[in-house]
Amino acid sequence: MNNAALNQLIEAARLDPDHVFSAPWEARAFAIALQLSQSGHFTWDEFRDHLIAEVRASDRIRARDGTSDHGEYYDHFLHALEKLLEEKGIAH
Amino acid sequence: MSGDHHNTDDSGPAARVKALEALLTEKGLIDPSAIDAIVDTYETRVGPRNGARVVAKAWTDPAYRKRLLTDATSAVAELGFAGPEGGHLVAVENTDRVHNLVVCTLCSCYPWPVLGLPPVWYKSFAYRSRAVSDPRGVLEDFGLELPNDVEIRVWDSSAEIRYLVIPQRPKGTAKMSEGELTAIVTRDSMVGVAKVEAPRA
Amino acid sequence: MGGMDGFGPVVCEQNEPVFHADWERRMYALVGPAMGAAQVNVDEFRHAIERIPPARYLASSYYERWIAAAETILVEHGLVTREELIARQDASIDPRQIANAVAAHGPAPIKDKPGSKPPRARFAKGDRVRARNLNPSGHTRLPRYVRGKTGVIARDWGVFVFPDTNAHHAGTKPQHCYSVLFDARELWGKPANSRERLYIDLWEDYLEPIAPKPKAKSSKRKNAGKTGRR
Repeated sequence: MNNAALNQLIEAARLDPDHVFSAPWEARAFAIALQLSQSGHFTWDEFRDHLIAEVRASDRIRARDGTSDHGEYYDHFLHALEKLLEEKGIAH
Repeated sequence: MSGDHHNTDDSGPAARVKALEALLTEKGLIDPSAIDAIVDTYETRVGPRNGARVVAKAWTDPAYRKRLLTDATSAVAELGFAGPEGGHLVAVENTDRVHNLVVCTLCSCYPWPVLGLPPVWYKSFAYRSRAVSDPRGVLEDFGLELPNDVEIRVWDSSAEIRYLVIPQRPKGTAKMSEGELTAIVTRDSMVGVAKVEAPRA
Repeated sequence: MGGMDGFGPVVCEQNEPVFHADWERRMYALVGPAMGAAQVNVDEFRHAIERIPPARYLASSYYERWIAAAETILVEHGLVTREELIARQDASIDPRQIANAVAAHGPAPIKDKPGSKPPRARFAKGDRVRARNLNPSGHTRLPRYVRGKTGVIARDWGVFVFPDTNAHHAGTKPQHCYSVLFDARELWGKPANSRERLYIDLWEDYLEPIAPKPKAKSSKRKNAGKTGRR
């Protein structure tokens, strides 16, 4: 199950071992989430709860369809951030 | 190096992040230069080279190795590495009989201060689901075949603990200095999907 | 683990602290012993953070900020000298200096509110436990694949603030978190020689006890509900 998907990602990592972010928006989304938590607008645990929920929802679809992901992680990250900020009344 | 403030890509997420950053800046909740600093930190200053230093020191200094296995958070802090996702570090040591593998099945928890941010494969559904159900198969995908009598321990970082694998020191490295050893310790070996190879003579 | 036993409930004895957020409580827990030695409360500590020069503040992570605050407090209270701190190249605190300062002045006992104690551990190493079969509508940190499965307590990591958002922020609930060992056979039905073990970190709320296996009895005895010596 998903051998090919994992192998593709392993190969990608070998080709680009210092890879951190795939696009500038990923980096900024990450840094925004981290800074907001460091400033106390939410705890990293609260953020992680939202991230886990996004990942879980996506995993369910993957498991059901037998598909695999190719690096959409920061999509979940951004969704989690947006939802949390809305919940906190910070941004919408 | 200041980050690219203006995403020229108009794709969905890029536009959303751009709008979010603008809104939060306007409200005084974030500072773009602090955002730049964080990006720079995790792109260039925090990475597996930190963990490699920890491992090389553990290999060459038995007292340090002991401290690392007893209280990794403090031992790692001795080398100046600390920060978010490093408040509770635990080092797990590979031996001839035990091989350790780390995963976060729930999201992507990872020991940032010693390894930086996780690679894409670590966060993938494929890795997160198979590392726990078929660790031997996952290791084979990474090109690592372990003898059947080696016990595999999978650590699921489902709470606050962050794990660092201490790989075995390869044979043929007895004459290498701590600095030289640092250069051969790979990120993959500290997650547990690879072993450290001695450099070819 | 050495040092602090998880984030646990923290307070300084003089004043009841007003933590504005969970992150503050945790931050304070990490410098707790040193701040106890200096006998400062959380407001003074927060003020020390506010006094960090703006350029340094913006360039620092939260961890670096409270380290800076801890430095300020330790120096101002005469527990270390600025020269001792600067002796390190990056001018950051040597954890051993904090430890020495604490040893010299005595550790401060920590408690959440006057009279409250850190929660006792329900489980001990070696206890057999079962992961609850929760299917909560809200957030949970209990991985699906372990629900309803039986494992053994491998280690007690100590007390952590449990972010139970199911409680709608009714308050954090510090509790013990454990490394629980599961055999791959139990989780996945693997053959006996698979030699795979999983260590999963689970909060106490996620676990229920299993009665210890009854010891084999050499003499026959009517079992009157006893489950063996404990």
